[in-house]
Amino acid sequence: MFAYIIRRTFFSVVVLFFSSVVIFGLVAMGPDPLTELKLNPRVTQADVERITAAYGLDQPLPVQYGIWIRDIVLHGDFGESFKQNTSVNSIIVIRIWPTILLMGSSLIVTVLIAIPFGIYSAIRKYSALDNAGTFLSFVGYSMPTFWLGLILQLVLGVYLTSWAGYRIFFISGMSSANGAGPVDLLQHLALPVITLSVISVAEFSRFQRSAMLDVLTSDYLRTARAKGLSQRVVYLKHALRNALLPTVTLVALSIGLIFGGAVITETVFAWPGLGFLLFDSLNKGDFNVARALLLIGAALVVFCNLLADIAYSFVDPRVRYE
Amino acid sequence: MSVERDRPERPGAIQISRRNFLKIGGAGLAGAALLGVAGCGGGGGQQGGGGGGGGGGNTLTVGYYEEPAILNNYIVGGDLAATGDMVAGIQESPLVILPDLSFAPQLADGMPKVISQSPLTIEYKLKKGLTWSDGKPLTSEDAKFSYDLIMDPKNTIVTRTGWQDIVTFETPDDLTVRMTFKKDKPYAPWKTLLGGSETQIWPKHIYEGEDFNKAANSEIVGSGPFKLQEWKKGQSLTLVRNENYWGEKAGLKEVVMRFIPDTNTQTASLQSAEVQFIDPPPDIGLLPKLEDFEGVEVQVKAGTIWEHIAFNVEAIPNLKIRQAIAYGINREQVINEILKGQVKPLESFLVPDQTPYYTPAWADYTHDPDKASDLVKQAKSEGAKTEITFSTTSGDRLRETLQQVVQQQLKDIGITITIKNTSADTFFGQWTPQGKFEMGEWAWLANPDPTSTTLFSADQVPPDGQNYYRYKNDKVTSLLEESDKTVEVNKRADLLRQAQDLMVADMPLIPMYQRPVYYAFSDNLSGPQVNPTLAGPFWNLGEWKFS
Repeated sequence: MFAYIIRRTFFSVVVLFFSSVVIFGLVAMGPDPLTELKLNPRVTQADVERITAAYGLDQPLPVQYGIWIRDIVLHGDFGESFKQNTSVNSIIVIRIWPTILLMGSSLIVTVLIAIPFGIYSAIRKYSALDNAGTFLSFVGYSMPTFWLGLILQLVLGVYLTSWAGYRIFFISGMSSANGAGPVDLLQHLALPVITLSVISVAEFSRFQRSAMLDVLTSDYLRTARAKGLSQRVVYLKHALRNALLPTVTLVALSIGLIFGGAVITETVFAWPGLGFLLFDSLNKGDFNVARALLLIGAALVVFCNLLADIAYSFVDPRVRYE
Repeated sequence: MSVERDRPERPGAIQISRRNFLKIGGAGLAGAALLGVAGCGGGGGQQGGGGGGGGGGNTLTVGYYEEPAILNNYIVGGDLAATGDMVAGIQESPLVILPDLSFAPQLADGMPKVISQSPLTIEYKLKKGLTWSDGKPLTSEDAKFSYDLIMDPKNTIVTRTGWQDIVTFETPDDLTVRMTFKKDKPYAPWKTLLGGSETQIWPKHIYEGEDFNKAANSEIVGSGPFKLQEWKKGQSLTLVRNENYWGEKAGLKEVVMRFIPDTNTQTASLQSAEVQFIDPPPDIGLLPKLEDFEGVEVQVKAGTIWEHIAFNVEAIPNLKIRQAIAYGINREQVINEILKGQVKPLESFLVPDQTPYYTPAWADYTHDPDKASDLVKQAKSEGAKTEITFSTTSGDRLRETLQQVVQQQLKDIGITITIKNTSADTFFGQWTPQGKFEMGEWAWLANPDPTSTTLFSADQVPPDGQNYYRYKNDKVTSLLEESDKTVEVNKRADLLRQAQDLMVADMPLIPMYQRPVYYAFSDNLSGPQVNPTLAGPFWNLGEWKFS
């Protein structure tokens, strides 16, 4: 097992190295970071050249790449942001907690709802509740995040507030003006989390349902029932353990994607997360920020993949790694 | 009860049974969840107290569309409107630009005087009793310091145009500032060095010796009616009243700028009273929606950003085609489709507020499809082509609708339009500078000063300037260059009017309309007055108050 982990780690590093080259090159094809500057009629060609040199953008690409990767590996320094005149590290660090809060909460909510629902749907296959669930899942899965977010803002934000007379949900930002307690945070967190969860609950519950269905037809469950065990014990103690395995993998991979944030939801709800940062930096040609986010995201996905495989080998003893 | 199977021993194998692993895993997840909740409490609870979202007491919450990158308006990265708007209540300049594009004194005591025409010498006096927010006095030393900051080659200043023509910058006494320009470079737009972007006065006693490229990125000290209290990056920026203000104290105690990039969310936040002021970009159907909100007042004004149809004169060399298009387009109809009569057609590349330089040179080109069809036939017989590509930035609903209406109108006179758009960065980064367009549509920002040389002068074709039209008319070029050096207002106006009339005859562009500016705010807030210039909505923030 140990040898396996070492081997996997080595290959992960190789994969990351190739990813870094691809990321660097692709982002470099993005919009020119100096576009807005060049639009300013008072800026002269000499000014533009001066600033291009200051950013190191006049160097050939491989040289720029070498400098970038050297700073990351040796100093953990992701460079300077072209737009914000400050280090990329400081920009990203502030937004990590809001991203984890948003994505983590929605993952937890999703798991808490989707798994029981998927299990129930499988056990009571084709019942009224299962059919309703299937229908809702397809609706939820097809809903555009943007639209759902705006509808929730209107209905639960604007209309509910004016009907109830006091504010239950906030529709933008992470906290109220002067900093407030956990309740205020929850009021701001609720709508974005609901928006994200609706879609992932739809996805996860379908997955869980089909995993459970697979398990329910196994022989060993028939044996357990024949031995006289109650339905409840059969389902929850025997079937569920095996049915959870695919979902565990899915959750582990989703953790890897947390760092990507949720661009559209963050934009609609003005949530200060990394998703919006990535989108904004790509739009404006702030290359170093975009590259840092993409590289960190890639590293997390690779790492969580490895974790998921290891966890899997513990949970299912039939799986062996040499 | 399940029975654990024995696992064969392997060297280095970690022995954990499945049941135990699941227990540990479950405990781990639960622990993480608890930590998350505890973290919520810890992270969320910052300085306590304070009102919620609504106009609690004397706090104004603004929904602003873009977060600035840095707070320093002088250096690269700080030349966005967002930076200027955030510091409008904090920093001050000698002059301020009013909504009608005229200049008025802010720190200066009365308007500056031209004490010599050649070499051009400008002198202004500062008001008595000016102070910084820390109480120290603001003097001409600070003005000189600000000029030195611009000229220091270590600072990545956005531009030194105009400043670099100053040969001496004197401060004969604490309140007097005198700028003398080079004898052969009388900078006619000198007022733009005293009011507008990159004109704020900086406190010498705070910033002397600091690295100006970094010192004012996230913090800033000024002399205005407000001070910066806090900037929560990604979320909001809070201004608080300057109790040491040299003038009349601000009516508001606190202003919180919340960054809300999505326009729909901005308007919904205003509707639910989470914010009390927004200045959303114009959009089809937005104005009636805003006017419908209860308890909300709406102000609309024609802005300084003016949209126009541009010709690449080298791609469409036949003048008759360009004139035909000018007669063939019904501008009123286009404007009604997009903005339902909120603005009128623009008749020049200057805006009416730029008096006395503006003249409605394009007014003769009213909608005349018969004349247009005639011209098209004539041009065709001269060999001109009648299939033209029309390009602009994608994703802008107003512009895309404009293109479709124009396409329809020009079909009626025999010109076939093919629409081909791209992203703003490609459009302005490649297509327009490289001339990869035939007929284009975009907007410029009108300054209080009417200088238009970089746009229309024959020697300003890219990469030297921004004459994307590739328009070369020597007479117009010399008129424009002459006007840049003419300080006397009436003479300058005369030169510019001549230039406008000559340009209509060449038709390198068709001005369309000025983009309207909308402000929407709670009707118990008084003070906001639409200022479409770069002075921005907060140009008079000190005068705002709740009734």
